[in-house]
Amino acid sequence: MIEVDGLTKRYGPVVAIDHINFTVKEGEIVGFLGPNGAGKTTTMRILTTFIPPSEGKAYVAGYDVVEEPLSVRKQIGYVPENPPLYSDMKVLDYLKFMGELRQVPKKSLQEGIDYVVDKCKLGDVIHKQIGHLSKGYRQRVGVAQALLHNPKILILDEPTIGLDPKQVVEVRKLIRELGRDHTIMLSTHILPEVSVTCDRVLIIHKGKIIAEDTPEELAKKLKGTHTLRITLGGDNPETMKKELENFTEVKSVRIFNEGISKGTTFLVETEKDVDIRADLSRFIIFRKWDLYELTPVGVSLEEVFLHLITMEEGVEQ
Amino acid sequence: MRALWAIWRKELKSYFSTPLAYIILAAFLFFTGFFFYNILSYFSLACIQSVQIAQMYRRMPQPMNVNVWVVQPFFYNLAVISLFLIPLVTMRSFSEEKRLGTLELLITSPITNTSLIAAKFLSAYTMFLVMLAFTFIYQLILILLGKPDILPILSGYLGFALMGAVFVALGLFISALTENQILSAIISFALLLVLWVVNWASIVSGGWIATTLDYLSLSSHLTRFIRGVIDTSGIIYFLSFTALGLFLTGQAVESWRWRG
Repeated sequence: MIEVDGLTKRYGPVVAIDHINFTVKEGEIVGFLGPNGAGKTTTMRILTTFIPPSEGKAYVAGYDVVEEPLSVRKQIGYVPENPPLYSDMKVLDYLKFMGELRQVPKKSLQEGIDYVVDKCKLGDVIHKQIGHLSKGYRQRVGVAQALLHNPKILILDEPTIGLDPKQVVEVRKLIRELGRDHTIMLSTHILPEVSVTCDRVLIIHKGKIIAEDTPEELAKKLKGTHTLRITLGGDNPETMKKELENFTEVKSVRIFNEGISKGTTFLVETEKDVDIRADLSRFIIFRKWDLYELTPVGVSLEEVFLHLITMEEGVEQ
Repeated sequence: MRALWAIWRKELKSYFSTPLAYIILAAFLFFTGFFFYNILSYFSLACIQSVQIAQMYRRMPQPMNVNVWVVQPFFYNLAVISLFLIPLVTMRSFSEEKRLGTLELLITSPITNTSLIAAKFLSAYTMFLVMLAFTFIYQLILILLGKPDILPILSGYLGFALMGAVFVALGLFISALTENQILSAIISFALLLVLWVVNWASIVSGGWIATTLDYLSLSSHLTRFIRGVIDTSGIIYFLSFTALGLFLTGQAVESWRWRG
């Protein structure tokens, strides 16, 4: 449904996202987790064709976001971080307008409105002016407008930000429900949110995706191991993988992010309290491989997690 | 196309669901009415004087031309009033959408930028035409009470409709540059005023500078239409300035997108 390949966005000298790759399969709910400023919104804005990427490709429902933006826009429902609402409009008028804007056929528009009003529980406020609604209701109106044309893909940017704990729980429930009929990509900076709502998590930090797994696996991994990210060149990736696996103290090796500009990236897992960086670098030089990168991922992942875990307090699950 | 008219309808509704449209219309009618009344009173005073002078010298009174005495000055006043009020019509067009964040929504909807800008232009222009339509009342009064030449009135309105398109297009451009409505209105007004008065400088300069300034000025082109001359260079001038304004609006929206 969504394919991203080497996507990069620069704002002048600032790199907002840096050669990221990921895919989202049909029917998945994927959480995009990262601290503020990690590049979540930028990525989502590129996927919704709002801003063009500086480099790389992104396909949504098979359409290129740069080449065929109009086709992409028809397939997605997008809720930006602050739901874009006209405060002087009534909810019903707003939904009608959005339906027309999305070119929902006249016949099915009423159906679509009934559906989203029911799904998002807007029955009580349908004739109220949007400006007078509470934050929770506004968020739901925001989600409702994104569902009107029954899009294949829903993109939600921080859907629970600024809501009170009760509303947060409601919105998460709504997302789970919608996940049955739509492919959903949501961003958040709150760790528990992804474990409640998502099938899979992408962790983004400083514009790079540093981990990708199910919420459970991710949590398990963090506890017992320590991961090194190594980018090597100069030999066959499979051979290098085997040799790395045979290296002392290494528990497992995975090839990650194939097809980046130079070399191959490996994720090398070791026991938590062992540091093999010095030995490993000597080994790499001894084998005459090209070393492009050697980063202890585990540490920064933990940093990110620590950051994320401490964010959410007071929300009861 | 349907999306275009959806935006057009939404824009007009939002004009009339806030006090803004009513305030603009009230101000417009007050000032046009005030000027019309004064111009007409001055004209009737001049008529009476002309008859008295004629009687004094026992001659037939000179014929007085309603078009020259009333219609033409009224059009100039109308232009100046529009100069103030059109920026108030266009100021929120893009500024408000930027402030609310809804421009992001419009851009990520399956609608081209061209249709979006066309919709914005047409809705503000409709508002202008509604304002202009109210002034037919004054012409009707003239026709009922006197015998003005109809054709110069019609050509004046044609010129006015064309000039309104320039006002609206440039207003939209400025509105697309800023999130601040007040700023948008002030800058649009200043820009239109400059274009209105720029030919005044042609009196003191000479040669090609004078010709250029004259050509650039909104008022020198409008004058010809008001006098009953439908001239192609004027039509081209108004249409190309409108196109320029809309093109720049497109660029402003696009560059805002690029900056994210």
